[in-house]
Amino acid sequence: MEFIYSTRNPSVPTAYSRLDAMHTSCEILLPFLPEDEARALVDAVWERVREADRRYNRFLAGSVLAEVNRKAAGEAVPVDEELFLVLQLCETFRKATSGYFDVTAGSRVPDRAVLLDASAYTVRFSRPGMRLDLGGFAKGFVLEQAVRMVSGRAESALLSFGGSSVAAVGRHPLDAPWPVAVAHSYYADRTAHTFQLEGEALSVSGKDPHGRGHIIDPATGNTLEKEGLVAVTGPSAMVTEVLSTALWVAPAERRGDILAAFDGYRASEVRCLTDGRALTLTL
Amino acid sequence: MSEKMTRKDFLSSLAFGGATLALFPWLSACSGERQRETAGEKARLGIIGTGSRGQFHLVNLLQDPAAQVVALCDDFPPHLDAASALCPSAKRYADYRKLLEDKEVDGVVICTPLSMHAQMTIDALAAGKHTFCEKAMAHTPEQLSAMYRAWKEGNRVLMVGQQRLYDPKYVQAMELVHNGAIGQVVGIRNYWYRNNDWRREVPAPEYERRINWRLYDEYSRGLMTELACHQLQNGSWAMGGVQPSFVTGTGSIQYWKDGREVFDNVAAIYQYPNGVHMTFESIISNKHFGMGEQILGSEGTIDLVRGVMYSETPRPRSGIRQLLDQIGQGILSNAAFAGTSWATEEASKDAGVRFAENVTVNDGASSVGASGDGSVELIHAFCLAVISGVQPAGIVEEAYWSTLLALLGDRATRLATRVDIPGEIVW
Repeated sequence: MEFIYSTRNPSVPTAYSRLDAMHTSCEILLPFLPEDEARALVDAVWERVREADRRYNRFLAGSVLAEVNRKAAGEAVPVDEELFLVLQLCETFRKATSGYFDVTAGSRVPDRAVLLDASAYTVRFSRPGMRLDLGGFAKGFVLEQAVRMVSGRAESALLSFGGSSVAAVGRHPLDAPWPVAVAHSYYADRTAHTFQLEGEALSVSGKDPHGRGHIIDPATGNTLEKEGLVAVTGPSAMVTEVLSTALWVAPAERRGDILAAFDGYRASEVRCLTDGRALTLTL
Repeated sequence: MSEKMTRKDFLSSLAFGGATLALFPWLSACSGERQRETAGEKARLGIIGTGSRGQFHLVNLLQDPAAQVVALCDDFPPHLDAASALCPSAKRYADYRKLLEDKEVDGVVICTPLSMHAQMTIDALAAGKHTFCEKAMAHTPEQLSAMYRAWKEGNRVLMVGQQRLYDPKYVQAMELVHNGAIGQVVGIRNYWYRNNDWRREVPAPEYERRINWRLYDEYSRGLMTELACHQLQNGSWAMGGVQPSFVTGTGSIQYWKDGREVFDNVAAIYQYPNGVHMTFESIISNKHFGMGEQILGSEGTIDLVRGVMYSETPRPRSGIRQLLDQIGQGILSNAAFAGTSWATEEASKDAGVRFAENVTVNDGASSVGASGDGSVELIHAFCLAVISGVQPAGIVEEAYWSTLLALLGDRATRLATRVDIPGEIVW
């Protein structure tokens, strides 16, 4: 964990911290708070992130998610209240996005379903071979929790989980929205599109030319190879995470209907061209 | 730089557009406008030389709606028979001059040994045929000038088989170079390694020189005209059309001592007026490194073969850290860190940025042609040019220079000396 407290601008003392977790780098910028308060707040946020990382990392043998993946095809597995809530949310979002957001997408099992029993707080898989991957959703879920933790104690902050999940609390300390740019894929000194964030979140999904495609098509179980980025802004980091994934996976003609079901969210497709242009299409 | 666009604009702009056409004017031969103008029409073509490369083009042309192959010509019956089997309706000729008299032939595709290119092309243009000639253009600088003159003084289309001209990843790479993505160009590296004797099977000893013409001086200039000719274009493109001042080099027959006359390994260095060097190296007794083409810039490197760009200073992995410094200086500026998420374990490596989609990485092993290397687009562009009668701009000059650089590089390696390169086309 890295922590820096800068007083170079005396009117805007600012704390910065970075934690490598959740398979990426999580960062937070906290202007105005005294150093001890900033450090305490950062510690609390990172503790929550570490805990979520331990719980929702399917590759970690002792994680609650690994336990579910190992057992739920054969029996109803009791889970704690938070995981049950997470799975309920995922199921709600799956339906709301016509199945394009699906935390079981990598299972390659047809006719699959996650069976939740609210009376017993258990989860069971309908078919053998299924597995849950909460990687992307957990980032949005935890980022939203982090935003809540910060909002109660700071008037301004910026949080980024790997650059794909970003949340702004309040405004930039120089009294403007937080300008957050998507970098141009080919030109180090250029930006593809700048979002102005004020008390809202941004999530970016897709596959850029760096070849970091990792989103799975729920229909086939295969990694989607198409290129392009979908960016979604709106009040909830969790919802923007869900929507950016679903809209990128969905065919162009389905995107409008999916987005229309979520009030207060805006989406755009960003594509970088080798001639230096970047095209932004509002969805 | 960001633009708001409609979906229609968004999709259409992904095709080669105005800026690209300014850099690569010959692409206009495949523009949407040209496609519409020629829709439904067919170029009636004759193929002269129906060996492996001729058959490669024939197969592509048979699938091209803008092409109708009406004649085939070869004085080696097995090759003519093989081509006829692919296209039984085409008339057969053993003498290309007879084919040139055929009024049903609008254009010809010449795929013969290098030493025949000049005379056949000059004869074809004189006969009023639009002409596609395989690369390299000519066997000697004198022949090259004569071909250029014949085209310049006539009114027929001439195109040369430099397929990289129509390979999207080269086009995109050069866009990046000329837009400053890798800074100032400081070097160009080309190499082509194989491990085979470069021989074709011959039915009888008397056919040796005819079939294995690439190995003999009277037909070919070896590795320089057959391989370097393609890669030397990279220098012209990267340097914005400026040609090198001189070339030096060396070569030898060090492994395949089988009676061949051309070198089995060469190394040539070209120097541009501003001091930048372009290298070409080929060895055909080791294939470990395969084929490579790299544009080196002060701020980045482009690997043309793999379609990947590497930065000298990869973008900082820490995203919003830069905002801390800006706030410290009282600056409100956007911070470019949003995008698809990245993995921390890659922190110390620059994986590069891929600039072309669906890249076919050609290892350079084939002597005939490789899929996705621009050959299909090139021959299609020729068909459209035959139908429209419009010469794609700049393409003959491109072929002239790549051939001249290859021929003078060959001279330098044979003499192991420095050979000056004229600054203008001589014709």
